[in-house]
Amino acid sequence: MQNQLALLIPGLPILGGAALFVAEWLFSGRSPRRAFLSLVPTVMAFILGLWFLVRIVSKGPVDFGLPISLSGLSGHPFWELDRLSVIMSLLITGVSTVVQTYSLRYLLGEPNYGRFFALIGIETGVLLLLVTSQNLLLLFLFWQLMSLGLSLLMSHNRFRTPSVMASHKTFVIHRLGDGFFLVALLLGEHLFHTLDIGRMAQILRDTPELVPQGALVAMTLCLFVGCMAKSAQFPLHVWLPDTMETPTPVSALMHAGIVNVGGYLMNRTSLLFSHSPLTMHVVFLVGFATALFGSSTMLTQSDVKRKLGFSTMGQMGYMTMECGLGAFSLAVFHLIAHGIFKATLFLESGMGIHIARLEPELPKRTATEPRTPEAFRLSRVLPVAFVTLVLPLVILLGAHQLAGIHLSREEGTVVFLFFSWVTVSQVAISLTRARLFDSFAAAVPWTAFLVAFVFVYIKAAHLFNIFLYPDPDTRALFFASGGVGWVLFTPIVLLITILIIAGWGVALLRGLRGELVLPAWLLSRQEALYLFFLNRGTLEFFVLHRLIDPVDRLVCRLRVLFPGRGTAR
Amino acid sequence: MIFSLPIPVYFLLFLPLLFPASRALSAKRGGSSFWALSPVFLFFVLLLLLLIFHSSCALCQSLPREGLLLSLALAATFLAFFPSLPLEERRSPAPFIMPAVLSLGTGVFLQGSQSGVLAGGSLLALSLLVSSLFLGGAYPGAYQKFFPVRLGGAVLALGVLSFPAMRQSLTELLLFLAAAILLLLPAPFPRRTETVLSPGFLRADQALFVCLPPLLIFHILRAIPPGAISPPPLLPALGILLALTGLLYAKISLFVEEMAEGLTVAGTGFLLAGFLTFRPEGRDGALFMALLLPLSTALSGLSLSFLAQRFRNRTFQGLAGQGTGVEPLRLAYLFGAFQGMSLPVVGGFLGEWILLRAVSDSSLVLSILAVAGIFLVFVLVLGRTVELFSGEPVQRLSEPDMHLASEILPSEGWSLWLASTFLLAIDLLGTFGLGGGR
Repeated sequence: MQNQLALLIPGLPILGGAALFVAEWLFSGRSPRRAFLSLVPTVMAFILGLWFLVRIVSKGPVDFGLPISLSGLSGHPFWELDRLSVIMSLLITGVSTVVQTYSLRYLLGEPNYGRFFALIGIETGVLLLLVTSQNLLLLFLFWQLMSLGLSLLMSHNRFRTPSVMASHKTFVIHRLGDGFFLVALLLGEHLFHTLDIGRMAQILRDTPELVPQGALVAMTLCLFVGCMAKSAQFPLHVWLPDTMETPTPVSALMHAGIVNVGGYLMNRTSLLFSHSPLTMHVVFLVGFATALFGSSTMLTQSDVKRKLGFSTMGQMGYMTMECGLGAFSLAVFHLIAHGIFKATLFLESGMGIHIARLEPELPKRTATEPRTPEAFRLSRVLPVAFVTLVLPLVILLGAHQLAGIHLSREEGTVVFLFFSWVTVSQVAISLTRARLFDSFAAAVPWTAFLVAFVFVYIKAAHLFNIFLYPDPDTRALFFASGGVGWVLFTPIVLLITILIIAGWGVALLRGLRGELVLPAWLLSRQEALYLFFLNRGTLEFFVLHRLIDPVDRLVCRLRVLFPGRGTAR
Repeated sequence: MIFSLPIPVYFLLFLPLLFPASRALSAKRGGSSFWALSPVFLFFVLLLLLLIFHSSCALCQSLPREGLLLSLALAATFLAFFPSLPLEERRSPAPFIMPAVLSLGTGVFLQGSQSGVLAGGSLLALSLLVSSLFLGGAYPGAYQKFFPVRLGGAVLALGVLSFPAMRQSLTELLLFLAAAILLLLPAPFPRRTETVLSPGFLRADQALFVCLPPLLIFHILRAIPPGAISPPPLLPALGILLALTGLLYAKISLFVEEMAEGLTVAGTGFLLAGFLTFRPEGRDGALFMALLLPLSTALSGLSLSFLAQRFRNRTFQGLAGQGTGVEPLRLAYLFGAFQGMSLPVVGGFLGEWILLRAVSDSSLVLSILAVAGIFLVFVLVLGRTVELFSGEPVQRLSEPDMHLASEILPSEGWSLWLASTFLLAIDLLGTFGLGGGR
């Protein structure tokens, strides 16, 4: 169904941004009110998005287009608002609205105030065109434009060398991913003779035997490298920590919105991914490595924004893992939740830093009293084990049963069960430390609260899955392609269970003894491991000294051999 | 041949030749760039009209659309350089040669038959040779002695190969291609002695020997009809090799002009790679790139040249950060550079995409190499852009000097506007019309 009104969703922020550019160029003097030229259209786009959400749920997807044709583009419609794109549009316009509203005061008095809002408006529009594109070539076009816009936003103050260098690094890494995306497009052209996503999905559904598996795997792997660069996946994450040099609103926009496009692309092309199981396993492994690395590095950072940056990396890792397991909708659910809470944290951190700068003295440290180690008694340990290890598992299994999710059918769900187990267990440990499980009267409401919370979360994720991918066969295909088979999966499950229990045991012993109880060989590596993560895995050192230095030396030698024409004048 | 053109077209071709007269007249009245350039402007407007009404007018249909586009790009490239020539330089005979090249080249460009195209290529190469001699005469010692000899060799090779009887076999075709590349190589690669650093000379040199070669190469290659031969699958590798050579040259360059020259060679390499697939898409993409490259080189080259002139330095090291405060030059450079970086909005991305599709049809490995080349071009251009137009300047000027340096002279403004407008026009024509109609 065509509805040209949908064109206003990306069109309004772009027009607003462009109008602001023109206003800045034509009229001298700085007026903060001009920023509303970008903010108001973004809010209108958000409201329009809400209206379309209702309409799409009741009447199906809406397509729209421009009265132009581009060479090299085939298939119609070029743009479509479906459930996925409308959800993403709401997230983008929502985060952009919050960021712009915050920036109204935060950036007041800064040079190029109007230009900043104009750029944000246009970047919002570009992101909206990206998430509504139904053709991979068109999507790639806006994918690149998004990097360009981000680079311009990051180097907002072009006189500030660290910001400019961070922007440069980001753009180069993004373009590296773009190169792989471009190869994926070329492979796609060879395989499907079209880049229309709907048509590609139809070919895979109707005649999957016509598509060679090896070429499809190559194509999806290339697409995934494109996603890795944008979503800061290991080892293409090196741009993310440096982006903290940019203004806080840009960090918020980037961490809450822009890094999510990798997850979005995997969702948009989920049918391609689900037909190449090998890629799905690679996606899972990369996501796992990213989550582990990002979360571990986060723990070693002292700068609040850098900590948040690595936390984003960890979350993006989880999101990618979800895609690798076939839970594409859960990845979207995750990225929405992450987008909202990360934008809040970043904007709050900006204020926090501002207040800290005004505070002339550091806060005083309170001395901690040395603890006396407790003896290991079974009567002391068993209740703790029940509350913090067994109870969370029971709650989770019950919640899954209540929500109608059958764990025996999908391997991915079992993996999520483990993550949920660790998370709920951590919550239970925190509640125990706060002495909220000490009496029966206190324990009952807290357990009830935990049960209700876990059930609502699992049920919401399940309903969102059905909302985004209503076809049960498609959902089953996703999970099947992310699985490794029960023969291989059973030992993995056992191994993870042992690891979780062992981890819990170490935490418990630490609680009892007041110190870390680990084998000596592992403890001796603790400092080295800390330094490794503190220095971001020394990956940049490796890239700079092992890869770039030899090239630089070669260039210098060539300069000596071909000394150019004359001397500098 | 050229004698078969309709009579009104001769009047059109005659227009740029009026430039010396209009220049002399305007110099007497006070030297306004606009009036001096009016015949060339008129020429450009008429070309544009011919292009717009191509499908509806009999006269327009007698001229090939591709030829009109090439002429337009040629005219636009020269127009962009004209206003920026300093007044005292206009007294030298060097600029006089340009309208002659323009009209002569355009005349044969408009002729669509194979023999006409080949003759046009040879004539344009000849005009390059004459231009180099002319500029060498106006600025003694400006060119290396061997340069005109190399150009002469290329002209001779092309002239001999222009005879239709010579292009029957693959060997002769390869000979012809070798000659075409021979024409390119002497042009952007080292040719100057660096004893003359006059801005007028440098710009005329850039227009002739950096901006023109991509157009020329395409013009010569289009004599081969699409599908006429089945080339060996690795023939586009020649283009990729040339692109990587240009890229390496740009990477090791210390001077701003050297980098522009290297990047033009790289761009021409990609163009060749597309064309050498001998597929309609490759031809489309090559045409698009042939139209865009001269203009993007003109725009970014002019910006760099104005920057170098302001700060009396031509090295990247000496100009680091100096462009940060000169906003118009920065914007103009970025617009030209985006083209080279194959970024969307400007047409570079779609041009590269069409080319890549043709190359990937021929060999997937080559297309991956081409993508790697595009990435390396991006890294190089972005690095240099950041170095020159961002961050703290390497040497701070006093406030009044910086104020003077950040102001744009009217002639500079004219040049930048013209180059940007034409580049945008070619972008739009290429993006929305070039490939769609085929």
